[in-house]
Amino acid sequence: MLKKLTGLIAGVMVAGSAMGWTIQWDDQRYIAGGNDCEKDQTVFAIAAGEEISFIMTDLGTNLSGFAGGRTSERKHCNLVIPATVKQGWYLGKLTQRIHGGFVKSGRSEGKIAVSASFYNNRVRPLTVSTNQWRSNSVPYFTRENATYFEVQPRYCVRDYRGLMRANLVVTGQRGTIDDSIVIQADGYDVKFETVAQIFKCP
Amino acid sequence: MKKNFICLLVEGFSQWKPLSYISILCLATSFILTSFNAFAEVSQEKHSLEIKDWFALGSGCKGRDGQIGDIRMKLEENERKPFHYQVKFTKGSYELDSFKSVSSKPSFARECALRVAAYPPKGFRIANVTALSSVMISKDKGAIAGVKARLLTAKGDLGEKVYNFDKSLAVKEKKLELNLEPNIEGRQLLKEIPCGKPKIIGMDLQFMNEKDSYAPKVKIKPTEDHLATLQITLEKCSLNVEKKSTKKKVLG
Repeated sequence: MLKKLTGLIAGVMVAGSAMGWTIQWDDQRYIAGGNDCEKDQTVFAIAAGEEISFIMTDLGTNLSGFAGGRTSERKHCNLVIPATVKQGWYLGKLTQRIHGGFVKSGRSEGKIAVSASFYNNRVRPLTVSTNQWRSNSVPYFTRENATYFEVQPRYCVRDYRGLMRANLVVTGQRGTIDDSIVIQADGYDVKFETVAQIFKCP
Repeated sequence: MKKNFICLLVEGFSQWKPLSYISILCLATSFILTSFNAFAEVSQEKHSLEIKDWFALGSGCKGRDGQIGDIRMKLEENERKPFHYQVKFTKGSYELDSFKSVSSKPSFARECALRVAAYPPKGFRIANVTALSSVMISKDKGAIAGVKARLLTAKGDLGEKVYNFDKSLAVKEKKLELNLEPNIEGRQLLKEIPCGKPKIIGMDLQFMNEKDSYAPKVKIKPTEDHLATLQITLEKCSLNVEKKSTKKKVLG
C-alpha cells in the first residue's frame, strides 16, 4: 500500500515538472519591416507556448484597373522574432501556415512565398501560387508545410536565445493593363502562423 | 516536515524498543500526510482559464488587449458548468457595407480575425473549443453575398461554415446563426493538445460581396452588439494522460 502511495506521489511530481515552458516566442520584441508591413500598425502578433500567429492587414498586391500602367508589383515583409528554447530541449519540428485570398483575370498570376530560418537553420520554403487553382476567385486559401530539425548539441547545454526570421513576399503580374490580379484584395488579410514542436535532448 | 503530536509523545519514550519502531512508522505517516496536504492545497487552487493576450484585427475590425480599437473582450466562467469558459467579443464597428469600399472596386470583403492566447491552469488541458456568432444580411439582386466563419488553433483548422447568397435573389435582414464546432480533423487536433499547454485559439469571420457593378447594395453585420463568443472547455488531466505526454517528448 505504502509503495503504491509513494509511486502516486512520485508520478505527480514527474508529470508536474513536464508542464513548464520549453520555448518562448517574444511577441513584444519582434521586428517587422518592408512595404506595407509595420509592427502594430499593419502587422500584429500573438504568442502562446509553442505557437505564434501574425495578421498582416495590408500586405498584398493590387494590379486592378486602378493600378495605373503597372503590370507587376512586389510587396515584402521581413519578420524577426526572438525565441528562447529551454536548456535540455531542442526544436524538432517547425510548422508554417499561410492564409490568403485572391481575385484575378485569366492572363495574370501571383504568388505568396515565405522563406524562413530558425537559429540560422533553413526552414523549408513555403510558396502558394495562383496557378495552383483553376478558379480566378479564391477568397480564402490555406497552405502549410513542416520542417524537421536534427538535434544540435550546442543548443542543449543552456537556455538558448536565437532568432526566427521569416520573409514574406507577395508578387503579382498581369499580361496587359486590361487584366487584373488582386492578392489580398480589399478585405482579405494575409495570416502567418508558426508552431514549434520542442523535443527533449537525448 | 511537521510531526504530529502523538509522534512527539512517542519519540519521548523511544528508548523503549517497541516504541522506536512506532516512532519510525509515525515519521513515515507524517511524510505521507504532509505530501497529501500539499497535493490537496494545490488542488484547491482556483482552476481558471487565463487569457494572457488577445486581438480582433482585420479590415474593418480593430481591437487589442489594452483598450486599443473599439472591440472588447470579456472572459466569463459558466457558473452552471464547471471548467466551461466564454470569451465574448463585442461588435465594435465591424461590418461590410457595399458603399464603404477602401479600394475602387465593386467586389471586396471584410475580415475579422479573433485570436486569444489561452493558458489552462496547472493540471488541466484545453479539451474543446466551439464558437457562436450571428450576422444580419441584406442584399439586392445582382450581388453575391458570402459569409465564411472558421474556428482554429494555430496548429490547424477545427471547423468552418460557408454561406453564399446567390445573385438572383434579394435578401432582406436575414439572420444567420453561426455555430462552429470541431469537425473530425478538429476533434483529432483537440485530442492531441497536451496537458497544461497554452494555445492560440481563434475564429476568422469573413464577409464578402461580389458584383459586376456598383449599383446593388450589400450589407452584412453582426447582430446587436455581439461579434462572437469562443467557448473553451477545460478538463482535468488524468495521470495517464500526463505521463503519456511526457513520454512522447523524450527522443532517443
